[in-house]
Amino acid sequence: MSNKEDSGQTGTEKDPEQILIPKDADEQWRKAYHGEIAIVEGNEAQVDADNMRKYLIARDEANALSQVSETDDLTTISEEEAREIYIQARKEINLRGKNTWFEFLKTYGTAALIGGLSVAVLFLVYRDTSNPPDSQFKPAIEEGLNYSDYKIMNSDEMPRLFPNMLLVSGGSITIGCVKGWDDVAGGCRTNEFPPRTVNIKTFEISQHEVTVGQFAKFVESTGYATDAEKKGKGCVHKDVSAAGQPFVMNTELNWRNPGYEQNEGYPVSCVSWRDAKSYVDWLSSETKTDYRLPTEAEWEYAARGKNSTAYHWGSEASHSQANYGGVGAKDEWEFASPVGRFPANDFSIQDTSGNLWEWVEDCWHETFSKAPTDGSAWVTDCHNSGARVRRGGGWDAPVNGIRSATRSSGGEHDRSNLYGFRVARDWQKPKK
Amino acid sequence: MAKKSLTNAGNSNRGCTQMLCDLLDQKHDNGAAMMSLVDRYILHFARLYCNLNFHERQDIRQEVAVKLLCNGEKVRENCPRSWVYVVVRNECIDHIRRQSKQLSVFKDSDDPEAEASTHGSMPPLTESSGAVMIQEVECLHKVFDRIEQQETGKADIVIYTQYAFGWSYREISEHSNRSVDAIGQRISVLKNRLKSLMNDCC
Repeated sequence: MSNKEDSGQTGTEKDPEQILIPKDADEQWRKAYHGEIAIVEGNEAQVDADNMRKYLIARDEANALSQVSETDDLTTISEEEAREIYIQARKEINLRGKNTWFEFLKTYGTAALIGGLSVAVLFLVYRDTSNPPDSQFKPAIEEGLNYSDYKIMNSDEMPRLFPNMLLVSGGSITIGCVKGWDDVAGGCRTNEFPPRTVNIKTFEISQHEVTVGQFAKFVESTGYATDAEKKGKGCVHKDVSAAGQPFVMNTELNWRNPGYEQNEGYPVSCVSWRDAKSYVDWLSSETKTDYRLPTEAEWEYAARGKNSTAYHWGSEASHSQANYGGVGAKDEWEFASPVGRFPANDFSIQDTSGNLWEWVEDCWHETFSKAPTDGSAWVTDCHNSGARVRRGGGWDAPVNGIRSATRSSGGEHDRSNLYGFRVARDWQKPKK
Repeated sequence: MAKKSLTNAGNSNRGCTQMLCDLLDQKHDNGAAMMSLVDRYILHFARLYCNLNFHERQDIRQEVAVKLLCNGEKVRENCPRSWVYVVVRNECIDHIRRQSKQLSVFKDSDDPEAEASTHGSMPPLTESSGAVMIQEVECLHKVFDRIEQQETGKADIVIYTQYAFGWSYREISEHSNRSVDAIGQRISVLKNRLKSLMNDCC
């Protein structure tokens, strides 16, 4: 059957425009939907498919814009970073302009491939020469990292049975307070000094804090009683009804009832460092994989999301970025918020800043002066026997209490509706 | 929701233009707001369509910055956010194709002069662009909203959109948990699925 017959035309002349159209209407529809063929006006299958294609692209654009418009006031890149991006882009343009081979190849259509390689090489060169000293993250080039094995969860997805693990490529970073970067919003605490450069091996960390639903599974499986539940000891909360709003023990509070409304998607709170370790042990046994708490250095490395600024999004606290004291913008929660409601950092990790303090493996030290430089947990020469480190600040914290460098201590059995945790594990290089 | 956002996008050109000028002229915030917008678009693609790691996202951002500086002067007076979206989308697609050593074949232009006719934007719904067209778009809204509500609807729409971007079955398969055959099957039943849903919804 000819194309003219397809379109209902009669006569012997051939329409040159329609000669190349596939005969089958379904095939035409598919090709038009895929953008493979120029659309012939009047061809219903093609026009329908093209309209749908345009619609889907516009819908995606609208979704992207919608996400952006919700956070219109957000500027996640600082002026300094923007300046740096601009300078590098200008250098790149100049280099490409001078490269006649590039122009020649561009003319003949292979510029995309060559340009991509040139860009990759040039970026590597310029990164090393233009980064600020000390405070800048320096990534390690590691073979065998396969990010496609790690799926990033969207904010509308309910957390799964086990924590969603993400890959964090190793590198070196200066942890603690670096003057000019971290000392904002009232400055750093003495325990954040001296800044120390550490090398971190590639590892995995959970995208979110461990949730109520995930912890419930552990308790259901083992019958575990948390420190707060043992003999009805309770959990510390802020007594807002008392003068000065002191932190007091409330025997009725525990992870099931932390003193605010929650569901399975909330981070579990009222858990001690010991409770967190018990969960990790169970998770390891249940999944036949060695989970652990992150080391303090790993935690800060992950929380900074490769940024030197006080917060992973920049130098100013923002209720659009985190849940901390007070409410505003995206932060509509007076107490803890469900996990994954605030923008992720550049490692795609969420909620490190604010929401709940997070237990890490290390014991407490008053300074970083003798901290290991290999990113391992610092568990010797502890300042106070039984004291552990917690990081990130909680939902009640002031703006300087949710900086990436903020740290504090707590006893191994301490629990509060401000304390939670996330999990980590070593990355195993795949065998070739 | 999509319709409302499209309308909002039209109203936000002024803000986008200002952000672009700040980047081009290195004034006010030096273009931090524009690059933040770019970051959010990249994250949108990374989350929905391809699992880009940090290094890849940073490389794409830098390449987008080059494109914005090279072509930005043409839209200095009126920079629609949709143009920025197209630049980012094309760069993301190019990036993953470079990774799999495939050349771009079907791609909308990110040249602002060519954008109006090729970038696939839906006609503005608030203008009188024809009752038939509006009805058709409304119908597609209803149909795809219905699909989205179904059990695997969100994942299906991701696949449909990737195909509309010009991805091959294999490329889609590589970025989803489905086989090439399953993708082909999904696309091949779409036409009939649409027909049936249009009868129900429109």
